[in-house]
Amino acid sequence: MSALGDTLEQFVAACNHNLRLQEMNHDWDRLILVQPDDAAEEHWIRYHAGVAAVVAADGEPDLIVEGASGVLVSIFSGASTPTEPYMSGDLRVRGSQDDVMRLDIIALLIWGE
Amino acid sequence: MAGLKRALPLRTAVTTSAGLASAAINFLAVAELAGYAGGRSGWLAILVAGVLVTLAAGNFSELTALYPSAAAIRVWIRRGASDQLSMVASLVYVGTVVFVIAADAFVLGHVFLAVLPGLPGLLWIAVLLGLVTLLNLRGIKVAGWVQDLNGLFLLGSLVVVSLLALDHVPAPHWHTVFQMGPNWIQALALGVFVFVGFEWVTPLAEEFQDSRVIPRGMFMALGLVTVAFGLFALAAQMVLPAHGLALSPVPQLLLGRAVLGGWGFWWMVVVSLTTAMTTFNGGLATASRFLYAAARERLLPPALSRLNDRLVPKNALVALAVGALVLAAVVYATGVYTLLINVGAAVESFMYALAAWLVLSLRHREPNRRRTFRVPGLPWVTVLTMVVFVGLGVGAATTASGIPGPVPWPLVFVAALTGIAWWYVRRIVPQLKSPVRAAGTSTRPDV
Repeated sequence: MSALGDTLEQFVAACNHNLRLQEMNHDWDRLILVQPDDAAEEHWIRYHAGVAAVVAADGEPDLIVEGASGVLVSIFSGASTPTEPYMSGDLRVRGSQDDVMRLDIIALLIWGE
Repeated sequence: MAGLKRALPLRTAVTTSAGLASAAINFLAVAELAGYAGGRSGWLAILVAGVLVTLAAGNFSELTALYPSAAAIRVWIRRGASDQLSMVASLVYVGTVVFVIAADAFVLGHVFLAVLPGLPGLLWIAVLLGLVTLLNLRGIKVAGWVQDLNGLFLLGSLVVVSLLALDHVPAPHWHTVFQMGPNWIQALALGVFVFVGFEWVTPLAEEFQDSRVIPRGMFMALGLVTVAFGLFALAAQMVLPAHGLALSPVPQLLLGRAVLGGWGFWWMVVVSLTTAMTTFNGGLATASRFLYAAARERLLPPALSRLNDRLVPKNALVALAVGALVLAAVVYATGVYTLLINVGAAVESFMYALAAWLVLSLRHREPNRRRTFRVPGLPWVTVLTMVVFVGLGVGAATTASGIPGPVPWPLVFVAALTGIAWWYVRRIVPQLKSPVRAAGTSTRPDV
């Protein structure tokens, strides 16, 4: 598995170990596509009933997270906040603003500021 | 490229852009520019301003096609110029949102004063601003179709009332519709204010399936706003006496009454109310999310990224509402609303000039990056756009603001605002950005 794939597995595990996150996302049912723009790979995460899971490709996503592999690994591993690359245009997130904001809050709840 | 399950339609791009541009204070901006236009050519100033703003829309279209992001100008200026300039411009830009909310509150207060003279207008401003803030804090959102309908209601109402008014205009009046006075350029500069906010649809770029929808939406919205407010300006100058138009804080109510009597008055009351409430709601929701993001990257104090249990940035929202209320109270007490109009027109003109420069800069810095929209006429049309908007910005900033004396207060205000933002970015932001990263900090949501 790629470095990004490993990182996402750890991210999902971190989400599922956080009770506050599970409570916050209990009614957040979303399919997220994580797509590096410098590698021929894609990863899917489904959030359902407060539980996150890495899944196989499954229809149209609610959110698309795009950026260089290094940037994606950095933010999903908690090495950097998503805000900095987002504000510089190195991270792109397509989807509703509320969902984009919730992704940021998930990172905040797992790793803090 | 993968498609989104839920994407916004073109209709929403049009109505959002038109709705954000159509604030209740626009009625007073039209009245002010009509005074400078001379004759009855206020409509022409709006038409020409609309054409010029369309050039600016082309630049915003290329920028959003290059970097479709909710962070919009924060990203574009950072990529095309520098991080510091990006921070300063973003702070000044969000300040104009507060001005527009305060200005709309001023209009709203006077609409209530016209309807219920016994109660102070400021009370209504506080109640309604508080109501919108409370709804936002509770996470209650206005449905998209309601916003769509409201935008169309305003523009449609203006067109219908204006056409009815123009139907009874005596023939001699039509001879002055092209008569331009010596201060017509000032009228043109203020005409830019009518379109303020049309580009605030660009932060929604991530929510559309195709970022090319944004340019289409902006261009169609500018056409609608030009027609609706151009007709309103023409009808108001044709039907209302010049001094009545210049002195009234509610010219739209006067026109409604002149055309349709009591029905027309109440019709325009409803239009003013829904427009101002939409401005409050859209302005507070958009600007509070911007403050949240700015606080998350430590451009603003972390307290502003504090969320409530409904994931609403509560401190940012309350700070904006209080700021708008204080500003509205000052304007209401002093009556110098033209200062807000002139400052808004100046800031937006300078921002449109900056957008033109960013297009040039990013074509040079990132020539191979994919763009789904390219503004035509580069570089000459873009340079011309930049020069024209710098000129219009200076024109708006040096136009009389209702405060006696020779001091160009709008210019002083814009310079002070920019200076404070620059000082803040140079002195305070480095302290805020000290590398602190610890789980369990105070910005976590109250879940």
